[in-house]
Amino acid sequence: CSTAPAPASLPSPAQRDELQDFSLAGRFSLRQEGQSYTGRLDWRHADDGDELLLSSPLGQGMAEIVSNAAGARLTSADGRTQGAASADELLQAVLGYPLPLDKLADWVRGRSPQGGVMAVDAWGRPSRLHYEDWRIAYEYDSDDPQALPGRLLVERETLLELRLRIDQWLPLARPSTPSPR
Amino acid sequence: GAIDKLHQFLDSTRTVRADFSQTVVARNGRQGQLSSGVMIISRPGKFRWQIDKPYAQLLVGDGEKIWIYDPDLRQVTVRKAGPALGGTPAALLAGDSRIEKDFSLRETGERDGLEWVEAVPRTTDSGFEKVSLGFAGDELRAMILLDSLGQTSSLVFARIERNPQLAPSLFRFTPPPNTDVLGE
Repeated sequence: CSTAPAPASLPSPAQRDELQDFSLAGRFSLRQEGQSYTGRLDWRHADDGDELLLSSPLGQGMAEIVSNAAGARLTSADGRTQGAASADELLQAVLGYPLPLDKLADWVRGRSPQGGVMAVDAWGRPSRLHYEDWRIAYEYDSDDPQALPGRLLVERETLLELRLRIDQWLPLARPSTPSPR
Repeated sequence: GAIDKLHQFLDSTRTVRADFSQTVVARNGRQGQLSSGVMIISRPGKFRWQIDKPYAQLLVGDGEKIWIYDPDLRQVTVRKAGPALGGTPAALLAGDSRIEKDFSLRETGERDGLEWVEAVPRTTDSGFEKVSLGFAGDELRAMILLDSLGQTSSLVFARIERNPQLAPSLFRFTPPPNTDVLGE
């Protein structure tokens, strides 16, 4: 592929279009029907599953979600655990709202799922995505055409708003024999 | 011993200001986020926790409410004080109650040039396992908190000022214009 021009500031640790498994560290705030949650997020997304650690703004672990083919489990700081058949079901039970984790993993990498409509910016990067009644807006920290998003605003009409600031992206190397998706 | 130092610190310190640097290490040992900034506390209950690096974030508690201002998220979240802060280092330092009421204390000897006391919450839902406080002489230099999800947060304090004069406005927060305010 053509060598991308030297990025202005933060070099992108991975080419956005080629990013498969990743881990990211950042901050979030979620507002949904009068409830608001804010804190730090550590998210490891791999072919075999997801691990999310939600911490308070001061970095103290609040809840951990582990999801794989066998199902999903939430462990909260006060020791309670909750299980479900899938991460989506678990988030629905915990938040009272279907926040689709697998779709979020695509959106955060700027992937438009089946049936999504993506508008791009001047560098050809995802800028606005419409998918069903979800709207996702992207911001970047550099003008590298292959940059990974620095900020996401995810909205579903007035029902839910998730703001995500990604401080660090870490691409995860796939095991040497990548299982065909 | 370190327990007397803790008592003496809490009894003689009404206000404190210090630079802090914080390292959070996850259970799997992966180095988490490194952050630094300024901590200001006025007992009981008031604090200002200002993160400068690697990003700007400000937490202000006036004893009743806590404001969490994140310029990157362009948002302020307001919470009632009390449980939300319950088990955090700031709450421990800013707490008004006798520390023995909420924690069982144990001296754990000397390490890294500091004398340590370990405080284990008496209630199980405080959200963390234990916090260790390290003293150099009668000065609190470090706090290491192990939360219930296996994360260890280490705070090191520097340029510590005991009982400085503090402007009341430090513990009030007015959201900047066109910033979203969430919560009560």
